[in-house]
Amino acid sequence: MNTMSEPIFTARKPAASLRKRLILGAVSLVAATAVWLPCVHFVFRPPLPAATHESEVEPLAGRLIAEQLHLWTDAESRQRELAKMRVTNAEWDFMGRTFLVLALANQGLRHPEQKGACLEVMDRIIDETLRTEQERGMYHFLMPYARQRPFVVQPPRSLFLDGEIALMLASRRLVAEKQAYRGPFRRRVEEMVWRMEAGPVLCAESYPDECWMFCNSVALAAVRIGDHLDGSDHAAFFHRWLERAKEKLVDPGTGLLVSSFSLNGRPKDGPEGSSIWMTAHCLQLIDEEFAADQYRRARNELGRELLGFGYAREWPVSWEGAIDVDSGPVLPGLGISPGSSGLAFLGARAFDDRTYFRRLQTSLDFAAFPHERAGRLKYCASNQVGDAVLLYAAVLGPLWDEVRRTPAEAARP
Amino acid sequence: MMDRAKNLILAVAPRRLVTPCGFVWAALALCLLYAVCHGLGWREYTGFLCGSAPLGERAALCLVPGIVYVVAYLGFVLVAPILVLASGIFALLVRPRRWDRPPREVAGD
Repeated sequence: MNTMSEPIFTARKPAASLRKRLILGAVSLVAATAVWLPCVHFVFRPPLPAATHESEVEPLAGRLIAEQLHLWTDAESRQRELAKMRVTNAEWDFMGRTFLVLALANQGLRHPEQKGACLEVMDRIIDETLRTEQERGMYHFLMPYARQRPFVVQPPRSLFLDGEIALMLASRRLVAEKQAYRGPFRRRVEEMVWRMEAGPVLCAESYPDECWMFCNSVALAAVRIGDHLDGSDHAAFFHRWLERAKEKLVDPGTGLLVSSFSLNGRPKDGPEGSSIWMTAHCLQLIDEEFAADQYRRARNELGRELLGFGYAREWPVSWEGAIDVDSGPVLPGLGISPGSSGLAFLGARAFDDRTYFRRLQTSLDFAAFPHERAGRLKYCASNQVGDAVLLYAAVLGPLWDEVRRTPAEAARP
Repeated sequence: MMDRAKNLILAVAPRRLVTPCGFVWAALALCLLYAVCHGLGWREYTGFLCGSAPLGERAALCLVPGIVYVVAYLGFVLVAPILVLASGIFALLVRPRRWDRPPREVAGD
């Protein structure tokens, strides 16, 4: 009972001097650290890969989707979650909807028996978003600085909203046609293409004189799905866009597309992790080879692995950027960015980078504080938009595959 | 200067902690701290890690449980296992070795 008052083994040997014990204690701690740190990831690593990547992420997707659907059915939880996000960034409210609709579209295509339920929620989200846009205007989903000066192209419109709304409508129509969405989708596509064509680098504004690669690539993906759905052909526009982007919007140091730039193509921010992973994914519908090259470069410049854990930096080592709402709080030294790491899931999954995906998952279970209740999974260190991105990363595939199918393949029963 | 630093370390080092048993007690204390934070539901307050701001007038106060939870969690998953492993290594290092023992008396001497 006297364990704390006397060092152990004193019965057999007189206690070592404090000086000696301090040295031995320090040596023991160093040795134990050297043993434990390389082993920590084994505790958090997801189970060994199953036969297919699909079955590997299926349980994760099922639990995440249950939580996301709960937020759309329980008004109180949803209001609380939205309020929490909107205090920091009104864009997250909007993007959370986009990623959830994209995830549901993939889920509906992958599991036809769930299609009806998925479409019901997709319609509810889309209708509510369109109503909010109409009643409160585009500024409701934009950050306050959008009002500080006028948009260059008038009347003002944000490609951030147009692109993601068009992508939501396109995804819904791809799962099952809905005539009521056909007109609004076509009008939005025409508006987007007109605005992009009007810009010197074939990109449109998301904020006044501020174009984002993320938004422009989302818009391109929506236009491409529109071509698939309605038989239109924007191939020449895509070709010109790629030529202009490679010429004007690539960071010479890394070969990565820059994240934001003025309407005339002057870069504002360099390549950013919170932008490039989604950009590369969207460009898969425009130019598979260029998209894969962008992913490889992003993986090389931003993707990192340490002691079995995966994470992503917001900026390449060669670029100094400021911590902002997109990067999230960046861990000094390693440069771990929650924004970039979350979206890196999407890139890793889209480009079938299984090793990196698994290591990112290990980090997620270690540092994102999963919380499971009644079969619903959320990550406490994340928020609704973060969880929706993870969900989309877990289920993506069928939607893009459907668009990439050749007409001959599509005609087959 | 170095001597002064050494003396300071020796003076402030808790004698009872710098033992294999002390390491185990420290690990248990970290586990207990984590269990308390987890039991209080402070995991919910870790949203600050992604930049989500807490809500309400007492928003700043909500950061405290979040930060304490993260520290306690890291103590639980990183430091506590190291302390337990270190206690084993420490015990081996301070174990009386054969050559430390007094020579056995030979019968007939």
